[in-house]
Amino acid sequence: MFYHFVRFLGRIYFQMRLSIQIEGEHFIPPKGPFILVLNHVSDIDPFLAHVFCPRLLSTMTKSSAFRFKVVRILGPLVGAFPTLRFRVDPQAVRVALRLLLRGKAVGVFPEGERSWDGKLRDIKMGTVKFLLKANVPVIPCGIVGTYNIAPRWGKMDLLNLKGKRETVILRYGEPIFFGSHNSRSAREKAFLTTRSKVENSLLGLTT
Amino acid sequence: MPIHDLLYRCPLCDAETTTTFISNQTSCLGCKTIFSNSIDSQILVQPQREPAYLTSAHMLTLSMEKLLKTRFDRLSNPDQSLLRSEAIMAIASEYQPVYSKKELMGYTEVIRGGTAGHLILSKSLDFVGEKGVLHHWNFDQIKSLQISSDAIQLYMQEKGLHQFKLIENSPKLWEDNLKLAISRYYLKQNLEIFSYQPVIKTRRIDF
Repeated sequence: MFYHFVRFLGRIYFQMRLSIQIEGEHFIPPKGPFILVLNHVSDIDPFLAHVFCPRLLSTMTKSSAFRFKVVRILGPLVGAFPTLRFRVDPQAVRVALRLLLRGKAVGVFPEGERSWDGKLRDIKMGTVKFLLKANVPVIPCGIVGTYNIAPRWGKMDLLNLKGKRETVILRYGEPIFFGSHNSRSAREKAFLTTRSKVENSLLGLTT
Repeated sequence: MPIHDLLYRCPLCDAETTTTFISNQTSCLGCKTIFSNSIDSQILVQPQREPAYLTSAHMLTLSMEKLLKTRFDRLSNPDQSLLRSEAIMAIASEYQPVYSKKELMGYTEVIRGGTAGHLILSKSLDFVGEKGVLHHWNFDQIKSLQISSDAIQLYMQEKGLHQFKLIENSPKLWEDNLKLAISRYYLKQNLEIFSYQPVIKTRRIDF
């Protein structure tokens, strides 16, 4: 309920502040689990993903964001769950797999952090292994335009009263199926091809 | 983060840049070139004696990277201090669970307290307080590194997460220098780093 309310408010704000275009929404299945992989160039990317994804999304969020009590209480209510960034975090993977088993949608930013220059960074090994282990459709989503509004080294003008609304495109790609990779050796074998598939699809959607 | 966190040194002459609080503007203390955020996250470069031009953050960071490598190559004395910054060090003492409707969603680090001192990068990494060297780490003890808006966070082998809140310097300056120092350290052992997060991973270089 709270998540729906926040999404509603977010939608009003972002539609007033930005010109939002959504492409390929039909690739999002109405039911069943899937993983949404997104590029990350700006602070506002996760908010846009949560607000405009047709399905309720749970995203892996850096654990340091949960150091504040407010985020610890409200974050999980709007689909954020923590992942430790400095070491392998099996609990984050367990939670994500549990959510997928329940038929929910999980969002990940495979670069691990925001890009400094707007270009796609290397995809993290841990994310690729998670995609292979999950055995659910992987839907790439390219977010275009947010780097121009709030790059990592700049600030977003929250109201932008004088200027024209900037265009942001959320572009969903075709689902990718990687199949079942239950053993570690199977995942290691498929690692390189999976990574390049994810990278290429994100590059295709963001350029 | 302000623009001087991105352009912590001049991409044209490698001198230090100002860290004034002028919104989205910094200038070189050497050649006096002014860098400012322009429309669509382009950066307006205004050299003192040449016409101004627009360029991307990507181009500027590329030339900064080149200059940084040249500076490292030029170092004759290996014991020379490469970087020194005033910092407050804190250690993650425990992990706090994050729940959603009584379900465990993950953990977040609890960082308490702090010791003031200087973080020094030379042939190792040292944290020096009033009473001398308080902590000393070899590069192979650093297992992961990540930056936030005002701090660099390092995961030390068997000692956990250490956070260094930087008083004046850019966290990106530390990330770039430390990454280069660590990669050169491993290079001497014929190893190359292929991943920094969540764990620094190396592989043997084949000639």
